[in-house]
Amino acid sequence: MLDMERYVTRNADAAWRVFEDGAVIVSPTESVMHSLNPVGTRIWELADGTLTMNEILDVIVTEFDVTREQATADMADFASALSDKGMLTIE
Amino acid sequence: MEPMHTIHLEIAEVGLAIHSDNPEFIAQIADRYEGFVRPESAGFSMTVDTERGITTIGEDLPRVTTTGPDTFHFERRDFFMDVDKASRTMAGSCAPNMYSFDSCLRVFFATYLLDLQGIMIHGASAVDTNGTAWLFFGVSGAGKTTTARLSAPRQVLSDELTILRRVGDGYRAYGTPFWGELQKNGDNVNAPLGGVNMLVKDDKAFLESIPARKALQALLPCVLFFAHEPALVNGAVDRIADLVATVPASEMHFLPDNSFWRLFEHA
Repeated sequence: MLDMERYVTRNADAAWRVFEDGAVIVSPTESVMHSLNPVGTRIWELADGTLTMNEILDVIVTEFDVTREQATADMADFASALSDKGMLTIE
Repeated sequence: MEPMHTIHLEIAEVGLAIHSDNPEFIAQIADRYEGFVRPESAGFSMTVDTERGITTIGEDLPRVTTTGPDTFHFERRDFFMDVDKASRTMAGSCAPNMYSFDSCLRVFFATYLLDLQGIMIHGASAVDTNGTAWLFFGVSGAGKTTTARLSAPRQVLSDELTILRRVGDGYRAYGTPFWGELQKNGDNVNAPLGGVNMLVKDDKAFLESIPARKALQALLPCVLFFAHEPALVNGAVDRIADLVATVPASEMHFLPDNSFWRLFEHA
């Protein structure tokens, strides 16, 4: 299980745009595009390297209708997936 | 020293004075880009050396590199160019054939258009009877060439690559010489862009409006762009995001006939 006290930082080189219904992020080096839902978009916006995953979860459970347990599981999957693609750093 | 020969082109309101000491190369350009030849041009001065040992038609992808605040370099096995946007000059070498030169021009425009609030899209485009241009885009096999072919007698701007540029509060679509199968076609015309339409083959013709995020996702894979530097990629994403925020975006469901034009000519 991912240590939720770790900090997450989005890739500074990624191009990204936020819309009402989510976001699109593009990896410049691989020219790969990812689509994020509203929760994923909010996590991406908060992943500036100054917050731990737990701190981000505090925001998510406040702003969205989701239990902390579900949000934690989703966050772990989300962070791992984007980290594997080089879009997010977990440290 | 061989005398230099020159030909002037204009593509999407970008003038190109092309200089080469190879008269046959200049003659090939005159023939290939007939609809875009001009008696003179105000824009870039392009000097092309065709004798510098490059003779292979390349299959690899071009590479684009920023070399200074106003300069960039691009290359492939069969061409390279150093571009100076400040002095509007570029110089390099190209294999003496139109496949290589066409690719060279495409890479140049794909990169430089960002400075002109423009972008090049894998999309067919044509002008309706009201003088409005419509873009029809999609991946290979989506029906771009079909929609172009079914648009006659309307002015078809391209069946493969359309240039879009922001002009004032809207966008204009420009005819390009970059047609499929390297056909010699196209005219140097442009028209205000009414909307962008993602092609969907169907058994009925209708338009379905799509939200900006979906439009951006659908358009990005259709952008002709070769750079990987973050600033340039961001520029391309910015341009498409602005496009979908400015003009209507739709899924265009169409049959293999010209009935889809009824969707626009009453718009």
